[in-house]
Amino acid sequence: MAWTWFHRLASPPHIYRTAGRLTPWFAWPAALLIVAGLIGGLYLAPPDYQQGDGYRIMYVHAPSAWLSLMVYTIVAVAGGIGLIWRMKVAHAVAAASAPIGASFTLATLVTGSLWGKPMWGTYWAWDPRLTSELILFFMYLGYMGLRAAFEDVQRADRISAVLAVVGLVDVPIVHYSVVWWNSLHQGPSVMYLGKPTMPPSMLVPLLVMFLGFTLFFGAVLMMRLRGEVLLRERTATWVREAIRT
Amino acid sequence: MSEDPQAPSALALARLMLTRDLKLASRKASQLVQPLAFFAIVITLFPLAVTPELAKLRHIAPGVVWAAALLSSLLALEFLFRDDAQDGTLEQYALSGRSLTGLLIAKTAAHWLLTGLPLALMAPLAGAALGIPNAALPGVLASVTIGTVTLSLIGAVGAALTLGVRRAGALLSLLTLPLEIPVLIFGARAMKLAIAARPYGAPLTLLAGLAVLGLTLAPLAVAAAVRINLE
Amino acid sequence: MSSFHSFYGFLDMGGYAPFVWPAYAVTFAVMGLNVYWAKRLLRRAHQAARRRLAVQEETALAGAAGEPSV
Repeated sequence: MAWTWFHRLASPPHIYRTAGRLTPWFAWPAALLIVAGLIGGLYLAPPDYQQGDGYRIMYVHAPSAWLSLMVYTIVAVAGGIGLIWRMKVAHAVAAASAPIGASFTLATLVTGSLWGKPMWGTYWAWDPRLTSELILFFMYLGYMGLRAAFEDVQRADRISAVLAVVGLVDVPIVHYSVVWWNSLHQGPSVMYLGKPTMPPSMLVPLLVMFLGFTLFFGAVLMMRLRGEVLLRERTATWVREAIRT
Repeated sequence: MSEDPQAPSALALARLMLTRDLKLASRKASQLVQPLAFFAIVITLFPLAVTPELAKLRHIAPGVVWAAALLSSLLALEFLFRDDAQDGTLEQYALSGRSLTGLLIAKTAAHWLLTGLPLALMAPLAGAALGIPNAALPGVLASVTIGTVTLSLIGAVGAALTLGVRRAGALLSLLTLPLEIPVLIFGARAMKLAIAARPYGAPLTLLAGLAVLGLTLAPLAVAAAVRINLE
Repeated sequence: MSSFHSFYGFLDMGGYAPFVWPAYAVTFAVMGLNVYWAKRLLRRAHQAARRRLAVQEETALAGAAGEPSV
């Protein structure tokens, strides 16, 4: 039957074992790619003709920003799947992802402001990207705060999933309203991305970093997912075998 | 479910719900007055903290009025579902077999009539006190009237999510304020244009768009959150 | 191949050292913390599951011995 693989895939013991097996397959490529991206971005890539070596912050800032958005999407989509099909594992994915996304949102804000100081002359400017990133950080905090407010894991899962889905609808609206607001005030924007003139020696390390950060997220997600699955299945018999070995 | 010919139609039911909530609120006037008093106090803080010069206050007036409106709408949310959840009324609604979404839309509409509309009526007064010229006051009224619809809808989502949480005040603000930022941006923009005697139709249209989007999606989220919290 | 003439030049980052290195330090601190938190979560979930299993086994044994289970 077409559905058996689906149920097997979604069954907690299968997820627990698979996540454990997959962790090194994410972790090692992530480590290799990030080291390669570091060498390429910090050492091999030429300095920018305008920003000198300051632009090298991009190699950690941009992949962090990518993760912050991607992970919020994963939290909302996993939460939605968990709500509709009552899948515990999907809720576990959402619960495992949110703190990772929040931490990279914070990293994006800090590296963005460190990049802003030499470029804008100030650590914080109400730049549209930084501002929407800050709002995204508040949304992560709200999501995790709502989760923490419930003792019962099942209820926390389902309630926070409703918030994440509402947030996912709102994120683009917030982003475009902030961009619109900024265009009225002629704010400074010195981000590097989207510049068509980036030579391959600059672009390749960036792409390597994007892939490395994404795989790193995968590795941490696999580790956290095992913990979250266990927390939701404490009475099941498979847990007995899983933790004895 | 078999149709009972005696049962009121969905629209009549919504009207019943609306009048019930309005009647209940009229017996507890303090719940209505407190968010308005809070709004007035927040407005009063700014001339005292910044400057009493009306020419300077006029510049910050849109931001002040909108920030105060956001905060006082937050304050009013506490009363939205709490009493009905505590005495079990909400559970009866969920079990009644009628559309919970419809009932909750009516409830949110009552909440807007009781808190959003009075706030909108008070906003021109606050605007005048902050040095907004009389000619701009219709713009102030229009932007706050349309904006508070969305604030009530997003607020209802936040209130429904935190239904089972004790002392949810800070959490509620953390959940709802980030979602309300587009309302703040478009609302303040419309007010700013009105003060400058320029056409403010565009941001007002965007505000109306947000209200329509909220009206179609928020009740679904509210109903889902209420159901989960009642389980 | 490199864009720096000396090791000092690399450390100096064209004068941007006070911004570039903290940015990298913060990002890698966040990564390290993520790994640490993930390991801690898994360890705690294991401990909780083990405790719960121990309690279950005790009550099961007590029940088998004919004592009133709590």
